[in-house]
Amino acid sequence: MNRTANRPRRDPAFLSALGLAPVAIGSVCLSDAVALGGSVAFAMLVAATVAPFARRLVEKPFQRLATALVVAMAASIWSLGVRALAPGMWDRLNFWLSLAGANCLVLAAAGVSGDDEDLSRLPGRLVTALLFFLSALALGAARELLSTGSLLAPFAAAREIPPGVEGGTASLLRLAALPSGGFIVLGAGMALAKELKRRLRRNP
Amino acid sequence: MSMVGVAFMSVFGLNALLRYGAGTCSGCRGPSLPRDLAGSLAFLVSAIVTAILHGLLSRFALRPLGLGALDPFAFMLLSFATGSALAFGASRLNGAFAERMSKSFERLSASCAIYGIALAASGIARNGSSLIVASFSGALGYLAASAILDAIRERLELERLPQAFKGAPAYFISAGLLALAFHGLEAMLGPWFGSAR
Repeated sequence: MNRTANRPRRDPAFLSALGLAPVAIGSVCLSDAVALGGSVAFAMLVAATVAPFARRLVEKPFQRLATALVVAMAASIWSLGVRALAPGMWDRLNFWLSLAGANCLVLAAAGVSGDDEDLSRLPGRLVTALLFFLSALALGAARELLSTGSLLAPFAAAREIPPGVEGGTASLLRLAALPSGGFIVLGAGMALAKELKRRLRRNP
Repeated sequence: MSMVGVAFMSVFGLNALLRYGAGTCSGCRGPSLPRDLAGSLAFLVSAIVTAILHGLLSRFALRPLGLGALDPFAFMLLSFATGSALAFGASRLNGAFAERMSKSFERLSASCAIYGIALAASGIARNGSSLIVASFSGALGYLAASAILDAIRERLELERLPQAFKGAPAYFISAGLLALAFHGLEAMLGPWFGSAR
C-alpha cells in the first residue's frame, strides 16, 4: 500500500489544488474569495516576476530563502492592503489570509511560480495566476449560493458577517458555510470539472 | 480557559484541514511528511519552538505596533532562523538518528503546517505556558490527522470509486468529512473542558 502513498504528490492538478486549499476553507462568500484568491494570485505574480531576480542576487544555499521571502513579502503587502481597505474583513480573514499567501510556497514547489528562473515562462504563469483567481471566485460564489441561496445581496444589504462565522446565517446548506465544507465543495467541484471534461472529450 | 481546554482545542482544531490546506510545502520538495520517529520528533520540536517565538514576536512586537499584516514575512524570517539553528544543533550530534533529524529540521524550515500551528496557538493561548501546551497539542493533533488522512488516502486507492471522484476529489472530500467529525467532537466535548468558543 505504501507504493501508492506518494502518487498524489506528483500529480500537478492535486498540487495546484493544494494551493487553493486555504482559500477554499476561508472563502465562505464571494467577497472573502476576492480577498483570499487575490492574495494567492498576487503572491504568484510577484513570485513569478521578482523571485528570479532575487534568486540571482544570492548564493545557492540562500536561494530558497530568497524565494520564500519574496512570496511572504507579497502576502504581507496584500494583507496590509486588505487591512487598510476593509479592516472588518481583515479581522475575520487574518488567519487564512496569512496562510494563503504563505501557502504559495506549495505552488512554487509545484513549479507554477518563482522557483524556476526561466522568464520566458512568465506569460504562462500570469495565466495560471488568473485561473487561480477565477477558481477562487467560483468556489466562494458556489459556497455562498449553496449556503444562503443568493449571491452578494444579503451581504451588501443587511450584514457583513458571512454564514460560516458565528452570528452569520446559513439558511440553505449550512455545511457549505463551515470550514470543512470548503474542502467538500472543492472536491465536488473538481469531480464535476473532471466529469464535464470527460464528456466533452467523448462528444466534442 | 483551562490547560486541558487549550490542549483539547489545539488537538481538534484545524489540524485535519491544515493537513491538505497547509502542510505540504516541505513535503512537495522531498520525501513525504515525517512518518519515522526522527521526522516526527523534528516536527514536534520545530512546531513548539517556532510557535513560542512567533507568539512572543506577535504579542510583544507586531500587534502593539499595529504590524499584524506583516506576520507572514516575520514568520518566514523567524522560521528559517529557527530551522537553521535546530539543524545546526542536530548536526553537531553524532549518529544516524541525529543526521535524520538535522535533515528534517532543514526541510521543515519553511513549512506552512508549522505556520498554521503557530497562528492557531497564538490565537488560543493567553500566556506563555498555554502557548507551549497549544503548540505541542496542535503539532500532535496535526501528526494524528496526517496519519489518519494518509491511511484514508491509501485505502481510497484500492476502492472502486466513480471515475470522476478518483484522485484529488476523493482526497479533498474525505479530508472535509474528517474535519467535520473533528469539528463535531470539538463542539460536543469542548464546553466540558471550558473551551467553548
